[in-house]
Amino acid sequence: MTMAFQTIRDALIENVLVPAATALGTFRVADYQQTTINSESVLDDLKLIEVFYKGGAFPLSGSVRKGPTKHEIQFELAFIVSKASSMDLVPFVSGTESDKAAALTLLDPAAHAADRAMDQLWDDVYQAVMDVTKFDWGLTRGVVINRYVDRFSKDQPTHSGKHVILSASAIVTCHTQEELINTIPTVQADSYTGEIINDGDDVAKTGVADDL
Amino acid sequence: MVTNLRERAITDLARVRKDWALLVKFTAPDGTSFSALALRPVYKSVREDPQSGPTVVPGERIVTIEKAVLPRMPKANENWLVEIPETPSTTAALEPHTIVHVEDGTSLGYIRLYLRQVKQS
Repeated sequence: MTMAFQTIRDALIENVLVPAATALGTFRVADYQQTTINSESVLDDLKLIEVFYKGGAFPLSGSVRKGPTKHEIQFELAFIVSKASSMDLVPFVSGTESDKAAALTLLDPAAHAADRAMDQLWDDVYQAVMDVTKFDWGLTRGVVINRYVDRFSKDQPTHSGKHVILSASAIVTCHTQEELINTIPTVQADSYTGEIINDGDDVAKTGVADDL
Repeated sequence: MVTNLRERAITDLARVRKDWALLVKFTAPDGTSFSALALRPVYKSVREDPQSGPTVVPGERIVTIEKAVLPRMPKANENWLVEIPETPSTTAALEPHTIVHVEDGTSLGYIRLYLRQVKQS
């Protein structure tokens, strides 16, 4: 790895999000974009965050030829939660009809549970990413500059299936300086061996009449 | 020997009930419970493509049942508990679900219940 953004990506995952996931035990972190997953694999406390380098901008500057160049980085965090409905099921084993009826009125729909689970997940992740005690995400000061949560957006919950799946995404930005691994080589200029034309030389030599 | 389509339909239905039906337990919003033979629940997977993130594949549970065996039809915004075998087997434990929506067929007197899993709160 020669570009700083890869070091920063790993720091965001290993120094910020994985410790938060380990401490809370309510979500998991993947360091790449997965293609297809089963809803069981993100159910309840198996909630998943995928973290990846979304892209970057490189504004033109005076140092663009020799470096370092400014790199405005975007990381995407993709959130996926899956929930079943929930209620007290004990009355359906040993309760009376009125107990069962009462339990049914207190059903927590899966879509509601998924929405609240996503809100809590985002709360936890925001606090981890913006933690003032880890302003540099565990790297040397000055590598990660102006880290910031740019936006967070929820998608529509899914409508079919035995679980409701809710996804969301957040964009985390920062900038850094990217160094170039090669430097401009120092080359000794060859001495000029061609003919030198001076003012007033013969037109046959220069091709230009002196009086023009 | 089947002589006409009506007879054939009755014969087929009897065979379907015998070979494919599974017992499903219902609890209505008023707490009354009853069991009924439903056509074998469908255990399939569907694909969902959220606006962000990967494709997700949730399992889907669908029960097809004769309207005639239900004391009354489930209405919108009612909470029913529907317990179906967790695998397509007569010996499997029952797994609780709620009804997400009802697809009301008219030709054969059957309805399809789309279910969502329920867990202990």
